[in-house]
Amino acid sequence: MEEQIAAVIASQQVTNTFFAEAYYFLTIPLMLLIHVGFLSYEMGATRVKNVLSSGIKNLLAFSFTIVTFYFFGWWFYWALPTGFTGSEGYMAISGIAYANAIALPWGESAQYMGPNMGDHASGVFWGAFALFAATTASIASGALIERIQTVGFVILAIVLGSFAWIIAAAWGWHADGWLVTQWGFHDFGAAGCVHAVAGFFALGVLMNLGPRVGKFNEDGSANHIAGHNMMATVIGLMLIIVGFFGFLMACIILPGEAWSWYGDAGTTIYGTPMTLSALGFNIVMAVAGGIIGAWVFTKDPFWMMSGALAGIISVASGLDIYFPSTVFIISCVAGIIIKPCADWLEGLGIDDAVGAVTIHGTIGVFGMVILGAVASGYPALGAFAPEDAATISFIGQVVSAGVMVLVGFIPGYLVALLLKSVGMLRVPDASQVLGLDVVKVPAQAFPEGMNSPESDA
Amino acid sequence: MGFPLSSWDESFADIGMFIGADGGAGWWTVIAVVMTIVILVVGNISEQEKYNKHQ
Repeated sequence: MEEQIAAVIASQQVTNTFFAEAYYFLTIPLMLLIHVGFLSYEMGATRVKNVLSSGIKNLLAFSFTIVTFYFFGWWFYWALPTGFTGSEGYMAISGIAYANAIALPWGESAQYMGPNMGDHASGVFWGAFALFAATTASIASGALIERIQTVGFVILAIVLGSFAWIIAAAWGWHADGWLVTQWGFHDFGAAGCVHAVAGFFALGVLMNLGPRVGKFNEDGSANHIAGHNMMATVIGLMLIIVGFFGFLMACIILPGEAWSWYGDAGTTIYGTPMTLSALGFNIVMAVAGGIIGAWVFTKDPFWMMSGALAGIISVASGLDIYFPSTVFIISCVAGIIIKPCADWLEGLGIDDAVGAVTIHGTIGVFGMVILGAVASGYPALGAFAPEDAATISFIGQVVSAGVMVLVGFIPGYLVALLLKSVGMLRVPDASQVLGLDVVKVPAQAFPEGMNSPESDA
Repeated sequence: MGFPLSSWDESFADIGMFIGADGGAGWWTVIAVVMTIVILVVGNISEQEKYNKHQ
């Protein structure tokens, strides 16, 4: 009898393990849809003369981010949660020694960075995080279209995707992260470490990059530079929303595995309890709220779909604990404010081609702070937490949001400044006027017709 | 190179079963990193030539 019970338990464990492995594995192609969306979105938002060049930039950002995240990005996540000292945290799943043991693609730790029949978790977790990393690069990419050099941008994408965001994730999206343990930071869906970091990284780059030729007049007023294909842009935005379901699915820690927080309950990455059902309510309410909010002022499908993104980002920090009606209110407000915020930024002379700084940066900060206002007192960590662990608070969310802004902005600004000083940042004006495709792409987006009216090419 | 385990049965322990698991994995990574850097450097040289040609 005991043998039979043991066999049933073993069989159940195999099923659970393969379910968990398949669950995270399937989030990866879902998240790839985010990149399908960004590709379509960016190429549609680009003028005909720059379409293929924008696509190439986007594809290379994805590829180099993935590769470098394997080489060293994953290591940062496990090494630095407690700060740059690299010491071990309370949960003993962090620190330089721990990262050296599991997250380097050489030496003994290589066994967890490749095929291993005893490890059903590392590959799928790494894959999901690698897609998060690539998402940050794609977010910044849209803001910089039509005047940033390809290799210069790839270097920026590597810094953002394999360094900046993962440092922010280690600090605020890890049970040993110092923002979590000391400030009670809660950011379930990564409004901070993905969206705010990427948005403010893009701002730092934009300040060095400058606007597209023809964007601003001598008196400082701005011209609208329309992309060549609104349908591609809007459908791309909708695909990003589809991909977000995978992104948010991957933010849950499933039960019943050696690496799970609990044997019988799903949790956030912080070990606080949650269900997929919560996401079923809240994601679609956020999408709807954002679209409706953006429609109030703009009546423009581009901004309405951007409102959908903003809607999700505005509540991403608390998707696990928000009530759906609250989600609608917050996401609707986010949709309402994106266009005025984007106009304000443009008034400062910043040419953010797709509103990425506003939608991801500003709204990311808005979302983190709003959660602090309404969720104060909620535990930031699961039942395993030390007694003196901080709880969610308004001050904690504000401080953490400030850290996220700086972790994005500072490296973005400094690396862009460095690239600018060596002539690797901005495409020369003559090439911008002619069109990037004719200058550096051996193909045409529309070989049978369609040229930008301002290009001789 | 070569099969790093005594048999496939050994692979069901918590152990790498990939080509290079017996110590060569790091060299594959070194080569991959060098390739990445060289490709970026060559790509940048080519890109700058194109901009110069259209100045």
